[in-house]
Parts: sequence; structure tokens; C-alpha cells
Amino acid sequence: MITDEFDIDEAEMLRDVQIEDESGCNISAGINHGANLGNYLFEKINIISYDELKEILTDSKVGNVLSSEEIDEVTAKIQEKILASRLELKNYPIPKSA
Amino acid sequence: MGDRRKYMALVKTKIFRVADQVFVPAEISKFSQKSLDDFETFWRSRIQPDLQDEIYWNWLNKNRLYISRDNYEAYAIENESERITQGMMLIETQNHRSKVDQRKRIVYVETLETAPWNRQNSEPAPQFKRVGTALLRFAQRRSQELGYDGIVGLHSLPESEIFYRNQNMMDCGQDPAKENLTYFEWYKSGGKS
Repeated sequence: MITDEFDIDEAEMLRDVQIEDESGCNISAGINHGANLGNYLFEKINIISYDELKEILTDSKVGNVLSSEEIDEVTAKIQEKILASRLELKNYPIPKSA
Repeated sequence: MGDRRKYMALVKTKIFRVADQVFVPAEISKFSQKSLDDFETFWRSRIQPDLQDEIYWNWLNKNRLYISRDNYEAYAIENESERITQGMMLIETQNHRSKVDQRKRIVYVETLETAPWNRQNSEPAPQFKRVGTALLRFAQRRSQELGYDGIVGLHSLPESEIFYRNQNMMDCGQDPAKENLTYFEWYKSGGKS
């Protein structure tokens, strides 16, 4: 793990605080997720990635049988199924296309 | 294979402790199970249920079905002394382009939140300042590292717009595709446009 530092110039940091004070508002971006924020972030980064899934399939025996385009198609379908099952587990509304 | 070199850094910075008016060390690291635990333990009970679930899930539904291509990075910032998550941010690093120059890729801040006790209206007064700004500057740094010239874009809720204007971010107007939230962009590296 890399460790480094940035933004440690005190004058610049004081200016940052001053801007926050002058703005007098909450510092946030994007939609307000409220109490759902933690789960949203966790789900967003823990979903199996398309590239990882495709790599597994390509490196397996399946990769010797299917073309790259076919593996793409299988990968997309598997991921849709995973998403759909996660939504069912959490009682989220399931998109019609899933 | 997917980019396994996703940013693993533990970056040191400083945030401002209001109680004694000093800057204290803080660390920005990848969002983890510990970050989620902090959210559940410390944040959730202090978040007002001001967002109707129906609205939230409708929004999530519209944005849910994507195929992840390692393009999301989530970070948490902790103060070093107590090691409690003081802010969180999710960025997208591959699929967004500058509104000013469509040829240029940007780091898009999907979500940025500070802990409930660091918000302007918190009671008692906010404990730490510069939490959100430190995350924003980190997003800018990621943009530079990725070769995007430090360009950062985000959508702001109305109540936060003044902060981004004060940061000299470019106001690109309301975006109908994002619930009419206003889109801001740090077009010039360093934000000192």
C-alpha cells in the first residue's frame, strides 16, 4: 500500500476552511442517499466486474470453445442474473429488463 | 484483464478540528467493510429520514443496471486519532466527459457526503471541517493521475451549489438527466480558473 501526502500547505488548507465557512452549507455531491448511502457504496464497488468475470471465463475451458463475442454475451447474462438475485435478496424493486 | 492496479493508496491529509481550531491528520483510503461498519454504527442513527424511500428506490432503479468495468472507486476519510469515517466519496473514472470539451475525460464525483456530525446544521456544532473539500481535492488529484488534467465534474443539490461556485467550479446549468441537479465542473487543473 502506497502512503503519501497532499494538501498539507497550511495556507491553502485555511483557505479551504474559509470557503466552507463562507458557503455556510453542507458539502455534498450527487443525490442524497440518506440512510442508504453505506449500502449503496458497498454494492457499487463490490459488484463483480465485467472484466473479471470475462477473464475467468476466457481462462477456463469455456474460453477454448466459445468465441470472444460469445464470451461477452455469456458474461453479460451472468452479470444480469447476479444483479437480479441481489435485488431479490434485498427486496429492491427489480428492473423489468433484469 | 481488468485494471487490478486500482488506486490502493492510503493518502495522508489534514482536516480542521473545530473544538480546538487545529488541523489534525487524516487519511483517505479505499472504502471498505470498516467504512460500512462506521456508517452503520455512527452515521445512520444521526441521519434524518428526510428522503422518502420511494423516491430513492425510483432513482436507484433508473441507475442500477450497468455492467461494471472497474470504473468506480469509493473512498473514505478518517481522522487518525479516532479512526472514524468522517466522509465518503464515490467517483467514476472512465465514462464521463467534460461538458466544456467533449474530447476530455473527467473524474466524475457520483456521491460525496460528510458525516452527519460534520454538517453545517449539526447539533452541536460541526466537529471537523475540510472533510468534503479534502475528498474533492483528492478527486482532482485522481483526475491528474489518470491524465485527465485535473478535470472533475459533479452534480450538486441546490443547497450545496454555493460551495461549488465559491470553489470557482464552472456552473453548467441544471441537468434534466440528473433530477435537474446543477452540474459543476472544475475544468482547469487546480480549480483556480
